[in-house]
This record gives sequence, structure tokens and C-alpha cells, in this order.
Amino acid sequence: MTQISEDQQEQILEFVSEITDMLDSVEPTLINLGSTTDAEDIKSTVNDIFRLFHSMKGGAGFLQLGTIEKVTHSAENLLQHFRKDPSTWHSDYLEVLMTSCDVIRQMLDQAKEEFHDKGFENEASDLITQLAEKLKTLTGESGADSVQNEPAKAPNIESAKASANPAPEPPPLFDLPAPDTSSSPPPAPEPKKVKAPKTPLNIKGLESFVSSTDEHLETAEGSILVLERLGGEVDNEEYLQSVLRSFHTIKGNAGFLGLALIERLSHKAETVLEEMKDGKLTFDEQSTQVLLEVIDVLREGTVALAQGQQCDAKRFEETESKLVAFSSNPTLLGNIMVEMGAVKPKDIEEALDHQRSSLGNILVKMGKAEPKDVEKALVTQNTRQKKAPAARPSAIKAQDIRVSLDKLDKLIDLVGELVISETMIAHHPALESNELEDLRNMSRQLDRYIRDLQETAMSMRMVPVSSVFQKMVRVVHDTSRKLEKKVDLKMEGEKTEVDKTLVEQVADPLLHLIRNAVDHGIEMPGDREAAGKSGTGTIRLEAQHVGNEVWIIIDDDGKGLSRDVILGKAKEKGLVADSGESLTDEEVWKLILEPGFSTKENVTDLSGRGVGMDVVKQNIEKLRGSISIESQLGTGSIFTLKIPLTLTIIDGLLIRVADTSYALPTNTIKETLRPQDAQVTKTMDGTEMLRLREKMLPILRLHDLYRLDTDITQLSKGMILVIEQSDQMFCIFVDSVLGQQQIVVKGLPESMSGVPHLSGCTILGDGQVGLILDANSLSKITTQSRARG
Amino acid sequence: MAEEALEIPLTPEEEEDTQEGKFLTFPLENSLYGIEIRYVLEVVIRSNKIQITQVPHMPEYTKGVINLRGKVIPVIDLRARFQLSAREYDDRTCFVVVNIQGMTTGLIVDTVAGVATIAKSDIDPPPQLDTSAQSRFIAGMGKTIETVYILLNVNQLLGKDEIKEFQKMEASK
Repeated sequence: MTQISEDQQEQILEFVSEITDMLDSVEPTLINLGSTTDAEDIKSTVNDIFRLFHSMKGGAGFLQLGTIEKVTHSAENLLQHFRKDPSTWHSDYLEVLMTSCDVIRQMLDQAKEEFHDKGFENEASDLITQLAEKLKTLTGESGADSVQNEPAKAPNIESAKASANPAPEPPPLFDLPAPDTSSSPPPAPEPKKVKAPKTPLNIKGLESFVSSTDEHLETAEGSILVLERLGGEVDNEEYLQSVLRSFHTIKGNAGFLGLALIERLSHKAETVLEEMKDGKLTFDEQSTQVLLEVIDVLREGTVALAQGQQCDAKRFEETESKLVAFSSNPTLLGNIMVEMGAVKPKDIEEALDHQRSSLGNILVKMGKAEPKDVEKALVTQNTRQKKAPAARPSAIKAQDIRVSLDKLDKLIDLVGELVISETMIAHHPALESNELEDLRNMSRQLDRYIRDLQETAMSMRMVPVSSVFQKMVRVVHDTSRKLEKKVDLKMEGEKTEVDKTLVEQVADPLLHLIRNAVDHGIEMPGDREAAGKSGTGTIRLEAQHVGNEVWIIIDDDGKGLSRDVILGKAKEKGLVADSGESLTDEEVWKLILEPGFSTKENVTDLSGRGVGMDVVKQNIEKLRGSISIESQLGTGSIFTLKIPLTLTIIDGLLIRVADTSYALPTNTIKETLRPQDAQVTKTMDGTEMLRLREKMLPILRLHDLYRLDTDITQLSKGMILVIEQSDQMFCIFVDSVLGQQQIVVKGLPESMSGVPHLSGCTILGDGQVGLILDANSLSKITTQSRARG
Repeated sequence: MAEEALEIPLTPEEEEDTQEGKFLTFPLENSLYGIEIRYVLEVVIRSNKIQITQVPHMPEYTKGVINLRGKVIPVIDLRARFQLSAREYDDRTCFVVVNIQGMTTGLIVDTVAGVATIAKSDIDPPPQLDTSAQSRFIAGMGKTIETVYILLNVNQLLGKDEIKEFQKMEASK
């Protein structure tokens, strides 16, 4: 393998992340295919998957990831079959496609690190064999797909057939290994990569044409597939318009550059689309095929141009004739004549144009319409054609760009610094002077802008939770299959946005909880029916914003948690001292989050090793979140993860002990108060307890904990913070409370990461460093001391 | 980060060349000390604007953290590190910001003397007689015509393992 240039590495990384995203979104729909029998569903899903594999193949080919290319090519062949005939789809084929996705993922993972996909040849060839076998059984059954794998030449035969047959066999769409132009690389590379052609281009205009055409083709392709899904009935003008616009632009640009073939073909496509828009043609499966082929041919053409080659004129003409044949009823005379070779498609087109323009005249002649009505209709037609393109913005064009998280973090860091510097300026004593009214106003305005900037910067890190949710579809599918349970996963609020890093960190805990819900929650179908429930269990996965938190709710309708079983197990493991009678349900459920707790008798490879739940708890607490559990025996359990929206900016209460400022997340603080001596009781071992209404709360003196030298040691002289964390309440004693403010969380220097009860630090308004206390870890001190006492 | 803080931008090769044999020097008590220039990112004079935030459960010599233009870095008092007598910080006190094994750290010194060039041939190995724990901080003795510098082994100053040890002891108290 030759050395891979940095450019190429970047392209590979981009490819991997793009494809991974696509896999993430397509895989769940793939799984749905297992359960659906609706032909429409199957068709649209198969189309999605097909498209994914197709662009994967192209991209992989371009980036010389040969193994991926081969696998995707085989999978594509199989999918092509279902595209043609959804009724041949059977969930038996699901497994091999899923395995393909898995293997591709593995290869992508490797490509991300090592920039090649070598070492997977065995898996790949296994898969290819499997895929080919499946295809063989299929073609054996129907016998009609001998053209499946024949590249390039096939359309010839096909098109002849197509014109003769009112419902023709669609030609193989994307099967485009180079026709006869021999040396050119796979002609349909992943569109986006075309921007970096290998041969240098001497004409700048051509270069930008290639890349812009590429985008237009992509847009058009997307819209066409949407159109196909919508079918002819629905109001599809928006998408037609988008396709039309794309072709129109291509036509214009090609004309400008003197690229006659491209210009002609896109013009023809435009004509067909115009007719569709005017209702003269309906958009059906056949038109999809033809239009997609047009796109492919155009793409091939531009790729060839980018590589300094000529367009394949023959292919253009073939496609063109297909398009023309299609643009009118294939049983019409003109088409038959074209088929016979008696006239050229161009002639027919001209004749048809003529025919069309005189439609009004014919109508008048036949006495079916008044001349002025026809005139009126023509005017309306004209204005409609003119108005429509400008009226609607493209609905499909992607409006986002990829930015590396590092850059984003850097930006957010800088904005954080900006906020701090600005605060320092705004609070500078010099500004207080009366002569500086103007400057003060300007500073206030600056402040507003900077806050806006901060908000915008923060929002850039926000991504919808759907990426994580969609992974769960696969998890439920795999787990339930293995356990032979029937489980339906319902998702709500996938669009809820949370901080990017948070999304990543919540994935693991969620995985455990979902697995647990399937494994421990949902019963076997038989048991469910016996209990009067539907045989299929339901797990509801929901995300929603609640205040400054995002709540992720996992709700199953399984057997629920059993108080007796949990308590029994907890006793056995020594997690509860006595019978546990005094514990509330809530407290009992919390026991399953303890390390080493597992009620499953047999350790399965899915769960039951007693690690899952305490890992969940730890991970969630690391995110400064909490878990609450509700459960009803026999009807199910609800796990709610409550997690702060962002990790980098929190609402903090600033406090002071000795010379040091500390901050605590405001959401953990119930109240602050100045204690009276009568409220405090001191036990023999020195533990101080505060009586707050009906509760006795242990007091933690921060200056004792950290051995800080402060003058304020008498409780009534300082302040008490009442903290609630992980359902524990306790008090922290500090010198004074400074106030509440938004703080930007920073990590402590590496050498200090081991300091107990600190979760980070922040830079305060005066430029000093404040330390952020970890309420959760503090709550454990009080538990320990209580356990000792 | 490191590049930003350097005052004179140089290409890496140039840096190697010009930094070779150069030491940032400073006095502590009765001796002169030297740190190889290539470890030094910048020297910041302590002022009231830069306050040290004490971090609990750290060894005595780690005085806490400071905000260095938005970056929070730990600061180590070299007097405390070498178990010399303590001295109040004043307006000549400096933070010598160094990069120790990828970690930016401030070294608190009384003041900075300057930069000395010491040829390799003029550097003697650390004294063998000295059996105190402090000798591990010494990389060598640099001789010039006028005086002798104690050249520091920067990598020992932070004492990551020591910090861990310390925290373990604290935890068990």
C-alpha cells in the first residue's frame, strides 16, 4: 500500500463518519423490515438501504477501500432485487444484511484508525458468498432476473423491451461498472468525493461545474426517491420543482461550457418533469427508474470530465431515447417507430412538441372548447411555469456542515474566556465614574452580544438524542431475539437536543437499561398471555426537556420489580442489615443500583453479571445526573434518567471558606440558612446534626474536611447549605454564600485530578479560580459516617 | 499552547539550536539555580491580579492553582519543594511557567536572575555525597567563570507519584 496522503486520510475520515451516520439511521429501518409485510414500507426501506449501500460502494471505490466496495456491491445486488419486486422480500434476508452492516462497521472502525480495510477479507468473502447465494435462491425462484448483474450492455436490450411493453422491466439502475471506456475507475464514485479529482483540471469553470453538478444531482436524486415514496397522488409539486430546478441549472451550466451531451440530456429530463408538473404524466415507478438512470449517466459524464475524459456519448443517447420514449405513452406510434429505427428520438420530440402546442386548436376544432378559454389556459400555464420555481425554496438541500468537535470546543472555550474578560471589564471600578456614561452603555451592549454569542456557541454542541435512540432499536431486536421474547420499542422525543458529549456518554447507560428491560422486565410471550397481557411487550423510550435537565425515560410493561426478591437478594449480599421492612419502595428499588447486585439466577451473556446497573448509576452520576425508579409488580417499571443539559456551563452557587471560593451546582441545593444554636445537636462521636423541620440532617464542615484555616467555626456565624443528592439530604457548613451565577466548568490540572470531592474548577468574574464541589461524592461521606455511627 | 506562550517564535530547528545549553537562572536562599530554557514557556510576575487558589489535599509544596489567561495551572513553591525556609510572596515573586511532561505548571520563585549559557563540558554530575532526598532534583552542577548553578531536573519537580502517595495518606487519616 502506498503512503496515504493527508488529504486522503481526511477524505476517509469524512467518509467513515458520513457512512456511520447513515448506518445509524438506516439500521433501525432495516430491523423494521423484519416485522412489516406492507409492500410500500418494504419498498421505501429497501430504497433507503439501497441508497446507503450504493453511496458506500461509490465512496469506498474512490478511496480504494476494496473490501468494503466488494461487500457493498454484493449487498446492493441483493437489494436491487427487492427494489424491483418487494413481494420477494422475506425477513430471512434480514440477518445477512444486518451482518453486512456489522462487518462494514468493523471495517469502517478500522479505516478510521488505519486508513485501510485490509484484514477483513475472510469475513467479506463469507458475506459475499452468502449474499450471492441468497440472490441465487431468489433469481432461481422468479427466473426473471438474469440481467441483474450484467453491466452496461443491459440497458440496450432492456430499452427495446421497455418501449414494447407498457409496464416494462426497469433497467438495472445503479449497476454501473465501467461500460467500455476500460481504464476509468468505477464510474459512480460517492458523489461528494468527486470534488477532489485526481487529474488536475485546466479549466476552472469545468471544475466548479463538476462539483456543483454533483450537488444538484444529489439533490435531484433525493427528491426523486421522495417522490417515488409519495406516489403520484400526493401533492408532490415541491419535489418535482426541486428536481426540475436541478436539471435546469445543470442544463444552463452545461450549455455555458459547451457540454452538449449533458445539456441535451438534462433538457430532456426537464421536459419530462415539466409534463409531470402539468399533470400530463404521472410520476410512477417507471419514471423513477428512468430519471435515476439519467442522474447516473450525468454523474458518469461529469466524473469522466473531471478526469479529463470524454462523456460516453452512446450511453447518453441510450438514456435519452429511453427518456423520450417514456415522456409519452410507450404504445404510441412515435415510440414504436423509434424502436424500429425508422425515426430518431429527436424527430419524435419535435413532432410531439408540435402536437402539444396545437392541443388547444384541436379542442377548438372539435368544438369542445372556446378559443378564449384556451388562450386563458395558455396564459395561466405560462405564469405558472414562471412563478413556480421562485416560489419555493428547496426543501431538501442540506443546510449543515461538519465541524470537528475539537474546533467547536476551542470556540466554546474562547467564548467562555470572552465572557470572563467582559465581566471583568464591565465591573471595573473606573466604569463607575459619571463621565463614562457612554462607555458604560457600550459595555452593556457588548455584554448582550457576548451572551448571545455564548448561547449560540453552546447550541452548536447540541445534537438530538435520536442517534443514541436509534442504536437501541438494534439492541432491542438482538436481545429479544436471543431471549425469544417479543418486544416492541416505541420512541418519543427523539428530536430532544442535548450536549454532544452527553449524548455519547448516555449511550452506555441506556444500553444497559434497555437490555435489562428486555432481559429482566419483559416476560416470555407465554407468561405474558397467561397474565392477561399482549404477547408482545412494549418498551417506551422517551426524551424530554424538563427545566435545565433532559429526562430520558425507559418504561416497560413487563413484570415489574419484586420487593421481596430484591430484599432477599440484598440481604444475601449484605446490602441491607435488617429485614429491610422499614425501607420505602423507592429505597428498595435503589438497591438494584448497588455494585454486585443482580437478581438473575443464571448469568447470561446479556446481563446478570451484576455489573450493569451500578455502572449505569456511576455513569449517570458522572454526568451530574440522577436515576429514579418507579415500579409496580406485574405491570412494569419506569426508569428515569435526569441529566443536566450541558456539561460545560452550570448554574452554580458560589460559597467561600477561608480564602477559597467554591461552587456547587444549584440544582443540588435545597436551601441555604443561617443556623441557630438550638437547631444543632452534637452526638458523642462528634457528628453534628441540624434539625430542619421534621428532619435531622448531618452537618459536614467544609473547613474540617479540607483542613482549611478559617475564623468562622461557630455554626451560627456561618451558613448552612442543605443539599439533596441521590435522595440523600445533608448539610454543608461554609463561611459565607457569595451568590449564584453561571459558571463554565473546567477540568482540574491533571496532577490534581485525585483531589476528593472536587469535580472541576472554574474561572470566576474576578479572574480567580474557584473549585467546584462534587455533591454526590460529598453525600457519600455522610452516609459512611452514619453507617459507622 | 506551548507555542503561543513563547515570546520569540522560532522554527523547531532554530529553537533546538538557540536553546541548547541555555538556562533560566534564579536565586533561592544562598544558591543559584538553573532550568533548561526548553522547558520554560514564560515567566509571569506575580501581582494582586493573580491569586493562588488553594487546592485541598495536596502536598504542602503545591500551593494551588492560578488562572493563566483562561488556563488553570497548578503552582509549585520551589522553596517548599526543596524544604528551604518559607518567604512571603512580594512584587518580585515570579511564576516560571514550565512544561513538565506535557503538563503546564508554574514554579514559584523569589525572582528571576537571567539566562546563562553553560556548555555541556562545564556541567558536572550531581554530588554523590549528598544522600538527602533533595538530590533527585539536581540534574547537574553548571560551572561558569563567576559562579556555580544548581541545574534542576524538571521532571522530578511535579512529583506525580508523590502526589498520589500523599493523597492516599490523606485518605487514610
